[in-house]
Amino acid sequence: MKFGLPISLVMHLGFIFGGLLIWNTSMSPLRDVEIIPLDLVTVSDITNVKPTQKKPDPEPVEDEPEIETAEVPTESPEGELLADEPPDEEPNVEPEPQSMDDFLDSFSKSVDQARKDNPDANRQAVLGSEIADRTVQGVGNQDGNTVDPIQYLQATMMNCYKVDTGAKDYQSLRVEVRVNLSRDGDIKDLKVLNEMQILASSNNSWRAARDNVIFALNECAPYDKLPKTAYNTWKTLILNFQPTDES
Amino acid sequence: MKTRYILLGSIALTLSACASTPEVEEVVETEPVQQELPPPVVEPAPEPVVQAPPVVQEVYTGPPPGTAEHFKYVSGDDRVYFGYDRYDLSSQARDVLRKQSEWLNQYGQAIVVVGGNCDERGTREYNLALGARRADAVKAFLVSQGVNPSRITTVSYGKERPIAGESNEAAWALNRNAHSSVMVGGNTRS
Amino acid sequence: MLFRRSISVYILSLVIGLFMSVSMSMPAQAQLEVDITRGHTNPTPIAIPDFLNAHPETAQISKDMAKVIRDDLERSGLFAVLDPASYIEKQTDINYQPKFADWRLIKAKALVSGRIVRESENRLRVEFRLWDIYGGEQLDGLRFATTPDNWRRIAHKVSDSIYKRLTGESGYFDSRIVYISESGNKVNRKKRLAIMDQDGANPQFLLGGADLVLTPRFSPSTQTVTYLSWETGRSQVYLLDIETGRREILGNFPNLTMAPRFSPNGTKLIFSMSKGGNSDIYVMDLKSRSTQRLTTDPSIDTSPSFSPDGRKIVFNSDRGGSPQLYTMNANGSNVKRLSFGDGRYTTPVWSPRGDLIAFTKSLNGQFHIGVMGAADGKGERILDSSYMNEGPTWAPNGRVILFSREGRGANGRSSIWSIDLNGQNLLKVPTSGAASDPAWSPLLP
Repeated sequence: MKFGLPISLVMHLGFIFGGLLIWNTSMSPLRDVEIIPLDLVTVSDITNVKPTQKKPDPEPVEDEPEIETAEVPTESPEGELLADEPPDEEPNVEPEPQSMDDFLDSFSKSVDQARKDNPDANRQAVLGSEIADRTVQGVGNQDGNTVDPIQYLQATMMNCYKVDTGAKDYQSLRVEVRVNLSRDGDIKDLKVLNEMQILASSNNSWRAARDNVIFALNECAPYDKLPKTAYNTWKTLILNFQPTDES
Repeated sequence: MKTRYILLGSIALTLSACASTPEVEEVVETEPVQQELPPPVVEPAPEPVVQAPPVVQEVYTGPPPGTAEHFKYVSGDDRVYFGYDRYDLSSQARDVLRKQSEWLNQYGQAIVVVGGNCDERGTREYNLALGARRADAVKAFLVSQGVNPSRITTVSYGKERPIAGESNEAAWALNRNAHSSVMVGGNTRS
Repeated sequence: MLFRRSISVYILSLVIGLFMSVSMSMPAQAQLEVDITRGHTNPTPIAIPDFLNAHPETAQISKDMAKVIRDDLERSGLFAVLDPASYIEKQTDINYQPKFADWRLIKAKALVSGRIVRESENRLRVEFRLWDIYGGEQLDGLRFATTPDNWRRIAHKVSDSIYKRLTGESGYFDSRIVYISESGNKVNRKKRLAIMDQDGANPQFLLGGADLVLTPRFSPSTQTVTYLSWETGRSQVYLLDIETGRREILGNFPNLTMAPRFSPNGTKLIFSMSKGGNSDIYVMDLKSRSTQRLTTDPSIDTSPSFSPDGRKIVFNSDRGGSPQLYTMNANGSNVKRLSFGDGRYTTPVWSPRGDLIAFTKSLNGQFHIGVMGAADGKGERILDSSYMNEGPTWAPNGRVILFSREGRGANGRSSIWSIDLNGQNLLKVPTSGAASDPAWSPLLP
């Protein structure tokens, strides 16, 4: 790891500047929503009128749905950031989740934590938890050569891939993703292969399922327990997310 | 019916036959107290059964005739009871309703509201419909006994008007009923 | 099923992939295909700091709003709101990106940062941004303008936006519940029409309480409520405008009317009417006031409920000997039995999503709230059971059900409960005093 520090520095700087460049565009404007106040009349015994056959007049509702696009402040973020964050010197504009150190840290923590958390995190059960335990333990052994990429990915995703079993026809919400990974298991790029099908569907839950998959892939990254010697076998992954029935 | 009266006539005198013709007994009993009451209009018994009562005459202590209380007193009950999810009338219920109809036929100005009730072992809307059935079963029977249908209104309270609050078979049995509540426009019938 | 097929596909591709990459050294072609069929259903961890504010007069509101949003999302069962004490980053301006690493450390998947701007004495601007912590991007950003006393509704609107962005389905937080407020024991029970926010806040009586009232239901406009009252001595269907307090008897039929419910577009009212003891289903056009009879069976037909597209009706009938659920076309044709399970089925309500029918079923001395497929009655799921459960009503998005529960005995009290359609997350809805017959409004406009 001789080059670890310089590489890390270069990458950090790259991301910071990259972040500054895209900062303004990534800060999407707020959309406006106007609320129409609704008033209630409480009818007491005294004011209770006898039933009337009169039809209620349509209530004149004052609606002025102003939809103005809000501008995002365009001041230099740098100055603001320093001013806003006196106790913390570290720049907080870190637009992409690519700080590897952070990721490695949080990943190793999250794997450990996830294993600890899962048994008691439970308002709701983890689906298929026995399999998770078994395979995650195998992964935890860190014996690069013995990790089966498929089991590893399935076990890892179980901690990150949220299934919304309340969504309409949730078992049919298939999301197919192609992921290109770096040798370190970072996501280089990610493409939802059936994006068009999902966007064309009238089932909004499918879009949410797609988002959950992207969430999950980002959250579980980097996939650094994949055997490095077999990088070529997993540098491109096709992942088909489709929950089976709860059993 | 005929055989009943023949039979009745043959044993008539002393027994006054409270089970089969209770209305006769009741009315006669009340006569000494409320002289202005008309003689029973229904079932003009050919036998001189009316002669007998003076023998067994006692002082009438019931509610004032023609009142709602009197209706209940005379009929034995102002409610009839049903089986679970049933609206058919038991023979016991028919007996009570016969007395109710006789009273109604006697006090022709009274009107009656029949309210159908259910126990709590059913959901609200179904029970409203079931209560309506019970109320109507009572109305139909009263009409069959000669009460003018225009005098009878039916309502359903579903399970909203229980008379027993407990959650057990005895309470539920009491709450499955149709309640005849009479309204009398004063006691002064011509 | 696709994924079954692809099990073999991925084994095959794994074999091929290994073969190619290891033996032939052709890495560019290698692809590993994996089916991910299992995930978790844990609530999504979300961080919601108090809203920022620059004006002392909005200080309390900025705290309260965040609390309402936290409660909304937490009660939905889909989110786990992280303890604000654990938040590392204290944002001072919501117009800058959060420090994602700080939020990742506390395992937040999403962050809601908001602020309140007091534009004038009578006008607030509420802004929020929803952040994807792992993806490092903004998912939503909205600005609301309103009067200060409307802050609760805005908080619910924010909750709805978050819910929608993260689940793909509209929320239900900015909505109300009409219900029957109860007092007294069972033989002396008083019932009174009332309304409250979906979370139990702002309870108010809508009627005086002199007469028995039951089964209120909202119109899709959320401004009119239909209910049953004994004001004239017998049950009749009423319409009440909750803004003006104006009410009327619907149709003033000489017979008993009951079980009213609006059609999905609000132009019709469907109900049952008992003639000669026989309850049948009728529909009334609210404009022309013309009434059409839909069922003629000599059995009990009641509790009708339209499908969300208005083309079908589910109802309750004992024509088969015991109360069961049936569907028919909106004109009364094509009656089909829907429920075939053991027990007595009543109070069907069609889900606003269209896929399910919620019902009450009595079996073995218990009353169960359940759902079944609207198309064929299949896939019955019992969600909750007790001595007396009844009267389900759907959240506007069709994912949560409210129902009422009554206790045993003379002092058995009624209460309102919510449960999600998977049978999870059973919660008591906070009401002041005993309450029954809840009906959920659509989302407020």
